[in-house]
Amino acid sequence: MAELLSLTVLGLCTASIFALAASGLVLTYTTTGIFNFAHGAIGMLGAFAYWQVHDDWGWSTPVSLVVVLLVLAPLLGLAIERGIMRHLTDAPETVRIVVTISLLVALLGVGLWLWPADEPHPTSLLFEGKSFTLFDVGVTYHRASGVVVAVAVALGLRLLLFRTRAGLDMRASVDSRPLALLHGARPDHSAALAWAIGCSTAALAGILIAPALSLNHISLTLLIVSAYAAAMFGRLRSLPMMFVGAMVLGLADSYAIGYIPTSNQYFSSFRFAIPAVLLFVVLLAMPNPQLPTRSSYASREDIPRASWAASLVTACAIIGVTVVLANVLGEADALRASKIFGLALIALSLVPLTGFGGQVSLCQMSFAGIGAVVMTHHGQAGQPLALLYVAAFCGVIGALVALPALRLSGIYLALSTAAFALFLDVWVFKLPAFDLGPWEIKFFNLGIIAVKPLDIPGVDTSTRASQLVVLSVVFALFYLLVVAVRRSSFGERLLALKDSPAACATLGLDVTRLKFAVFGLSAAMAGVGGALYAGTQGSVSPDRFALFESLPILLLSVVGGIGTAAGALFAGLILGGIPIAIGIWPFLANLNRLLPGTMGVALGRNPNGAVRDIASRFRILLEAPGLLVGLVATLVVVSALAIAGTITGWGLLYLSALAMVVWPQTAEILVARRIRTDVQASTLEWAGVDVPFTEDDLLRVNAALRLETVSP
Amino acid sequence: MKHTRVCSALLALLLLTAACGRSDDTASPGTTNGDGGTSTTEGDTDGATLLANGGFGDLASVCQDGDASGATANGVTDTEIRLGTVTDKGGLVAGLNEEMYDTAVAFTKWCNDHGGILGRKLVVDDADAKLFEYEAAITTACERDFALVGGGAVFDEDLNGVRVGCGMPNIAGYVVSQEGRTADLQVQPLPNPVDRTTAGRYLAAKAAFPDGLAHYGIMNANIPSVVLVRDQLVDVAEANGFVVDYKVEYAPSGETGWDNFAKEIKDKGIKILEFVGQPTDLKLLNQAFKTAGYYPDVVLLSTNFYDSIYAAEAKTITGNLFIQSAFYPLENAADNKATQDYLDLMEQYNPSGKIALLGTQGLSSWLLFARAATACGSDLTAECLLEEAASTTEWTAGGLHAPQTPGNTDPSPCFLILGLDASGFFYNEEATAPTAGDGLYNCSAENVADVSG
Repeated sequence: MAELLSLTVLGLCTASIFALAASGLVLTYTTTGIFNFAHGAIGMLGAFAYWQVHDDWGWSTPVSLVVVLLVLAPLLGLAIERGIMRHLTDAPETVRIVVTISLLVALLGVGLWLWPADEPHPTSLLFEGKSFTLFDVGVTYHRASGVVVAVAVALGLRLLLFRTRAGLDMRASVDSRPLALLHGARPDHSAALAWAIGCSTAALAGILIAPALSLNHISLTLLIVSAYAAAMFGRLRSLPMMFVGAMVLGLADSYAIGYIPTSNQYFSSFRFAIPAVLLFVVLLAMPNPQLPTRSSYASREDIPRASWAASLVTACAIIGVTVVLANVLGEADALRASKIFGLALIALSLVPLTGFGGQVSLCQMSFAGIGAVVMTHHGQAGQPLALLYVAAFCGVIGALVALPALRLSGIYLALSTAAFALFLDVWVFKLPAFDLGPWEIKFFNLGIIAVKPLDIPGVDTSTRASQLVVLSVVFALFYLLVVAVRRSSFGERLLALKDSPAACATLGLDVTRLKFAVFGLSAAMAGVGGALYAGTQGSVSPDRFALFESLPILLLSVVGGIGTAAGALFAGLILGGIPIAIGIWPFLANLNRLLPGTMGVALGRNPNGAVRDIASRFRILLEAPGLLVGLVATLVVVSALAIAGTITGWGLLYLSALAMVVWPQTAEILVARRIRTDVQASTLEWAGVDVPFTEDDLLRVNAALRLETVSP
Repeated sequence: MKHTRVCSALLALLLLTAACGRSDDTASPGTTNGDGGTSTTEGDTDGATLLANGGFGDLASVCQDGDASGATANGVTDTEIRLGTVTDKGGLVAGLNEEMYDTAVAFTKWCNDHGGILGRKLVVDDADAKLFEYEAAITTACERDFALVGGGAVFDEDLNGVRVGCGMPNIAGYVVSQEGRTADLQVQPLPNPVDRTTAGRYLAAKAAFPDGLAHYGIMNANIPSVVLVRDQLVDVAEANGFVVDYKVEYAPSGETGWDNFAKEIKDKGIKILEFVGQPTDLKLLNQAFKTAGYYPDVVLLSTNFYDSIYAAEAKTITGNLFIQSAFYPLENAADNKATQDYLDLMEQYNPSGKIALLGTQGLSSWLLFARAATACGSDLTAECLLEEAASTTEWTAGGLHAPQTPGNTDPSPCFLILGLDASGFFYNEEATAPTAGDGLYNCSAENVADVSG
């Protein structure tokens, strides 16, 4: 009993940490409708800012607190609201999720830039670390103050939301923005206030938690995973229930340390999976939500239905470009480049799921990890047939994961996939081998697994360059598969699902079966992608398939354009290609920390993705077929010269880049001029404006005005 | 974010070499090198003279002019030898193991100033594996370099494949993975075999706290590779008569249960605690010990705790620490010419370079390379280099570390114990119990123990 009491005291102290971290999360969700994945990162910045003014510059505690909590954090909140979130009011759920994920990445980059991880940042406890004893355990006043502050913050926020005019405005704006506007509320102001308070709460949590958790960028940013689980207890909206959730988590953790026997190697690390399990359980226990009637489309979003001809040309172009590259690149660069296709394949699995079906998944890398594991067992020599095993196995697992998630949508679905990813990441992937009935189950077996690249009979795949070409062919085939899905009735149904699940159900569409199928398909694709990605790496550790590896993939695919395979290739190019670019131009290294984040943040303005913008620059060439031929011819000649060795890889790069700029630019000028000439020739208003009247013009004017012929 | 996996990467690096084989890898007591470096530089004219003549520590003529010639191997010409130094400095953890490359730059500049290797100048290529591009870095190096010298990468599992495939020798700075440690065409100046280790800190703890034998506990980060290390350490401890009374894993990032751990350790009365993880984590455990009003008799640590970040937290340490190392402490540079030479070399040839223990470990590889390459003369081939390097005995890199036998499959029995107090790291002579004639080190043959590889 004494033991239980001590563990309870310790558990409640831990619970206060989770409660603090979760309260700001609930506040911003309740008041803005945006689930802020970056909440932990904001707290991290707050904690570092406090360290800077208090510990490094030696300002007094009250002054430092005022500066950070009442000046810096609210300013950051205002900047986030004004710069980013304001543009998301009618954005689809996917974009909202991705934007806050990218904010997380960007803020983490800022934190690492301003306060490098390899420098010490010693922190000190409040009250000089003094402590008292309760039920036989020591409790620092710092920890105790955390409990008090957590309760106070929760009460304060509750009062703010339900007892003040500002709180009413905030809630009204989320319930129905147009109605709130009609009643004279100003949703923009409410949102700005909510973000300012949310950031301040995050910073307060960061400052209180940092000494207990060490002032560490990653720990503080990722603490939020436990906070997600706590917040879900109150369905992201109820502060009291969130508080209950935090207590359940804290106590579960404390009892787990006290009571789970540590001698068992399978359960000694189960404790780390508790937040994931609780998150999953809470999501399952949630009452059935209504099917969303509102479209998850952005009004400006558009998923093109590509023609077979255009798709085949694109597929051939991908392979063609890769063949040229494979001939020019050295072995080492070919190896680096093959990573691009590996990641692009995994990203491609998101196109049917998220792009067509509107279902957000944060666990694609987990499927990829399972794919890699299956590949080591069944494809030791890189047999292509093993990929069928991989696809079948991952497809089944994907469908099973989808089963409990089927009735969820939007952020709830995203969080349940995150819980699954975390469960694999912190527990399952780290298990030693074990027997399950007649089967021996082996994941990464406490180490690294070796995966062979694909070995196709009759094709020489001994060099890295040839493996690169093989990968490009696989990618092209998968690309055509995605096009086929888009053109099939299955694809049309997926788009309908994205448009309005409620309408789908009303029309007799089996929404459940549809979700089931698309999850299975996507997981199978991710699994195959993972097996091939692992093959490009030679050997992989479970860390490569962690929850936080899935986020950049989703992020960059959406930035590139989630509705088409181009977005997936874009994600692969950025994730796999930027390291290559940094090798050539080292100054890009710092940019790289911020790039993915800032790109995602800019996303709110263009839901169709970056690739579409880039492609539209080339579309003008179709108006001037001669120039299109010119561009293609230039590229072919330059490639041929590079392969023949007449020019170097650098020459190829610069000349192709130049051609890509010059030809479309010329086309634009020519087409613009032609349009103007045509317009001028045909429009009466232009007659005589920039050239003197001709006799013809006068005749036209007279005819139009129904005048008698007048001689000039 | 790749950062979780970078956490693991760092830990893997910090722990694997340290705990599993010998204890002589990462550490960067940046806070201490400042004092040590500047205060003693001017006084030590002797070392400067030898350094000025192409010698290092007690090694005479490391680099000298000569008439070696011939393009005897890939990367070797009449006038130069191209070598690669592997690090992870361009990876996500900016500057990871940069000190090894910094040392390579300083050493090669210095060596070339004194005529190079018998007239052939050294050219060092930056083979940055950036944590996850190890294979690509090695593939590039294969096309260009004669050998890899004085470097290491956290994820070096593929060493057997690409490097051995292209026949490139490695005079390794450090090697992490089991696969890497058993690779061919490789000589480690400080051998780090998979099946034997130096049980220094256990012997020291046994001698100092005989009551603690029955109250031994071990804590480790929940990272698969670290779990493997933990199992090996438990083997060594049990072989030395320790009884494992407490064993627990903590989350590598975001652990919130430190007070719980302190309570358990207190309740169980653990007297000797082994901690396998990151220095910042131990700081949090210390804080929890303070709150719980309990501290074990001693905490056993590997060399990764010889670290400037940890030293900065030293004020919070109240208990006794045993950090096992095989290197002459940088703090005592004034008493040891080789250690002082390292500081002088860096100051003169790469003043902006990072000073850290891993830099001295890289330097040991460079010195061993220079010696072996000089012995090969004009006939500089991979076979000759490896043979000469592996046949070296009593290797101390001029006095940087305890004597080693690079070609041996056994680790050196020598170790010393460092402690930490508010003023920084210090040499713990009582715990080390140096053996006669071995300077600061304890080199009793019984120090080497078997582990289940």
